[in-house]
Order: sequence, then C-alpha cells, then structure tokens
Amino acid sequence: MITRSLQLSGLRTRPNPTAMTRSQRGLDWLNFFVANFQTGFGPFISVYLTGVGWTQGAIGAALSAGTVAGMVSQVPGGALVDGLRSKRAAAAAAIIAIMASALLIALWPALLLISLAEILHAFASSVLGPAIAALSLALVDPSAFGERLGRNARFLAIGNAFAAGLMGTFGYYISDRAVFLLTAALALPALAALQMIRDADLVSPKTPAKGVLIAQEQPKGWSWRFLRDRRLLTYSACASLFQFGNAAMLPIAAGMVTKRAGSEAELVIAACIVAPQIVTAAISPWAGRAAEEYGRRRVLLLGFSMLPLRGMLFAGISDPYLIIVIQLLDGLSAAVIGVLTPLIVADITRGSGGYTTSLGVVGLAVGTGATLSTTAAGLVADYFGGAAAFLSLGAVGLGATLLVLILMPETKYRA
Amino acid sequence: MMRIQGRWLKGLRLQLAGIATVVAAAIILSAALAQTPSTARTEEASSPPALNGASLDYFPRDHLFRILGKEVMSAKGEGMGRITDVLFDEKGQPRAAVIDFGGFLGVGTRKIAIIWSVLHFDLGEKKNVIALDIGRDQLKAAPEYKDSDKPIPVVAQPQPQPPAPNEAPVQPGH
Repeated sequence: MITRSLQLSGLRTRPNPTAMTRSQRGLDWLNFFVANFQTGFGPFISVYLTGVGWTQGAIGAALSAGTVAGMVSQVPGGALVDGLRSKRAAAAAAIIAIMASALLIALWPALLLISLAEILHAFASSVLGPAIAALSLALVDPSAFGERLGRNARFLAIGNAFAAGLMGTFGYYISDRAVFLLTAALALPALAALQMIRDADLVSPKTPAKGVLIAQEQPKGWSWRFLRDRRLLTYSACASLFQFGNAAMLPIAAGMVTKRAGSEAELVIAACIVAPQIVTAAISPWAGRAAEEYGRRRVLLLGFSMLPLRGMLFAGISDPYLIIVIQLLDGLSAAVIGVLTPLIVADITRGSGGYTTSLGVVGLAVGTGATLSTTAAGLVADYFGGAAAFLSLGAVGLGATLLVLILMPETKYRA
Repeated sequence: MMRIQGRWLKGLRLQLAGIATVVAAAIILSAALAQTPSTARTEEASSPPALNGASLDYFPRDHLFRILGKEVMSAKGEGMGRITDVLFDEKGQPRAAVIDFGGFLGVGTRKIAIIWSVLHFDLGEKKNVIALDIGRDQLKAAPEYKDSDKPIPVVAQPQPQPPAPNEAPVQPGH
C-alpha cells in the first residue's frame, strides 16, 4: 500500500521517500490516537457525572450545551481550517483543547466547568476532524486520496476498538475519573504523531499537480460560492438522513441486550461496539480503492443499503449474540461513510479553497440527523415498542439509500 | 536523520510549552471558580452565624452519606448500576430508588425504579456500596422508569416479605 502511494506521489517530486513514509505513518497514528478522544466524551460522561452525584437534569443541561456547541461550531470550525495556512497548527491547538477539557472534566466536575469543557471539546472536534482531512489531502496526490482516506478510517477504527476496550477496563477496575485522565494523557502521543508529519511533505491542494485536471478557474479570493453547489447540498441531505436512521440503532439494540442477556450483557454490548470497528478497519482501504475504481455512487449505495437491512434484522431478531453479528453490517456502513464523505467533498470542492468549510456543512447536517434520531426513535420505542423503532429507523435508511440512488450524481473526476 | 530528529524535538518542546500554558490557565480558572464556595463553608463551620433561633447540630460524617450516584450491588456482589434519583411520597418517605442499570461505557443502560425496602445501607467497611435484595435477573427486564404521567413501574421485593399491594410493579399500557 505504502509503495503504491509512493509511486503515485512521485509525480509531485516529493523530497525523499523515507521521510514521506514517516509522514504517512504519523498520520496513521494521529488517527489512531484521535479516536481515543471520542470514547470518553460519548455516553460515558453521563455515567461519570452520575457517579459524582450529579442530578439527571444537570447532566442533561451540560450535555445539551455540548451538543448545541457541536452543531454551531461545525461550519465555523471548517472555515477556520480553510482560512489557516498551517493545518498542523490547527490540529495541534484542537488536540490541546481536547486535552484541557478532559482534564477539566476529570478534576473539577462542577456544572459551569463541565459545560465549558463540553463546549470546548465540541469546538475543538469541529476543527480537528477537518484539519486531519486537510492534512491528508495535502499529503498525497488526488489520485491516491481515496486510499489515504481508507487508511485514515482504518486507524480511526482500530483506535476506537482499542479505546473502548482500554477505557472500559479503566472504568471498571480503577475509576470513572481515570477514563478522563487517560483521555488527557493520550493527547500527548497524538501530538507526537502530528509532529511526525513533515511540513515538507505537505503540498497545498491549490497548487495544480502535474497530470491533474483542474475543472474550474481558481477563484480570486476565498468565497462562499462553493456552498451553493447542488452536489454538496444533495450529499448533506443523504448523509443527514442516513444518520437520522443510524444513530439511535446501537443504543436501542444495546438496551435490548441489557434487557434480555444475563450477567454477560456488558460484554455483549462491548462486542456490539468493538466488532463493527474491526470490520471497518478491515475493509476501509478497500472502500477507498473501490471508490476510485467503480465510482463513488456505487460504493455509497452499498454502504447506505446496509442500514435498512440492519433495521429489518434488528426488528426480527432478539438473540443477544445474533445482535453482535447484525452489528457487523454497521462496520461496512461506517467504513464507506468514513472514507466517502471526505472524498466526495474533496471531489466537489476541488480548487475552490472551501474544502473543510464544506466538510463542516456536511458535519452540521450529519449532527442534526444524529440528534433527531435518538429523540424520534426513543418516542417510537416508547409508544410502539422496540421492533417498531427499528423498522422506522430502517425505513429512514431506505429513504436515504433511495435519495443517493435518485439524486446523488457521480462526483469522481474522469481523467 | 539527526536534523529531522532535532526539528521534531524542538517542535514537540514548543507544543509541550503550549500544553503547559493551557493546563496552567485551566488550573487558575478552576481554582478561582472553586474558591468562593469553599471559603464560605469554612467560615460557616468556625463561627456559627446568627441563626435567628434555629439550632445547629453536627452529625458524624460516618453516619450520613449522599445517595445520588452511589453504586448498587446484588447480594452476590454483582455490580448493577448507580442511583440516579429517589422517589418520595407525600409524607416525605422514600418509596423507590431509580437506578441506571447495566450498559457498557454508558451504552445500553436502562433506568429502573426499585422499591426502597430492598436497599441495604451497610455502613460497615463497604460504606460506598448499597446492597440490594434483588438480583440482576430480576431487574433486567423490568419496564423503564420514565418522566411521564403514566403510573411508575417499581420492582418490588421477591416472595418472603409480606405483599404490599400498592408497591407491586405496575405495568404500563403497552
């Protein structure tokens, strides 16, 4: 894999192959350690805050502050990364901010500080994701970008699986607080990985590379014109609808496991979280190559279509162990979406200078879909039961798949 | 290679300096915020303020404890979850505890209300743990506790205790 990217990058007169490999490895590890940040900040934070004696109302308030900040900051975060010359500095600042918020949460669980930490974490995440995508785009040639994104998704998934295991163990054997101290500590290797990426290996994507077609004229200054691209809005709608069907599925399935399984329930839920990550790690590089070979649309359709299938299976099957098997399909969806989102947005915004801003637009759409998902599916589950909730979520997934089929154009450049 | 290493180290040093600054700022900020309540508390303890007729008692810390967030365990020592709420009746008596049951890293937890009488406040060596007369298998499938107008499902004691009709679990309509 590495050799292939090296051959491709030879087009752009890279300084020296060993150093290039080093930058690629740095990006691999960066993805791995960044995945660790998200685990502690997930649903686990409410377990931790419950443990330090918070009321449910206060927990809800602090987490809502984070959710709102997470949505509000998506587009500005992306725009900030577009505007900054050093994407590396942006990533470093975001990692440090996440570290600070993990420390705040671990050491001072007071309402104001936790809310601040949640908001800080939300803003930092809105910068970090786009900054890593921008670094990846600058590190390889456009023709190798799909494969690079496949590697990103692979290391992110391995990191997620690793973090779930490690933090579950820390939480169980040491304390809930230890999970956040560990999160803060893992920022250090993330920074070290970031340092492995050399500035010399980063090429501004605005510089037309040899053999690459630039479709549009380079705009004079930075403008918002790319935001009116219909393909961007169409993809945002598809991704948003997908998350609307997807986000609530794991929580509801895990609740069913708690209800039905015996003392092994926690392990089964852990497997429901970790097993799809292993699938994602295994097939992400394939998703990147397939997107280059067969086009974005076909791969996207494959990934999206797993959601209605999963909804149907969850509605009909309740055996806790089979739930783990069904969750494997989520790994396929996650690999496709993890690779194709930054790839399609790069296709659309090529040469416009608005790459990460546009990623922020998709991020906002996805976040909105995910937030509505848990609320809506929770209501359906309350009134009509779990099977109805899964069928509804699956139906939304079918809608998202059809939206891709009917409205989403192929975005791959034809040489 | 050495040059690369040097540059890398220099960069890392710069970033570490950055981290130190942020951490220091965070500590100062939190210390400032934490200051107000803690000083107020010590003043209260050292010189009792004018209570306008009310009396003041000091309770030994070992015999009183907070309940929100306390871990509950079955008699067999299986961890079951944490207490997130306590439900009282109109006489001010605690009737049920709501626990956040099960889950891994917060995924898949279920809020279940259990009758107050199954909670054992063992103030021995395990002061931080509340033991239950009820096992995991008896709790796991109970309907979830929700903030709504419907009757509240409360899991009650297994057989041995005399039956208390108003404390039996109430199944919601669906």
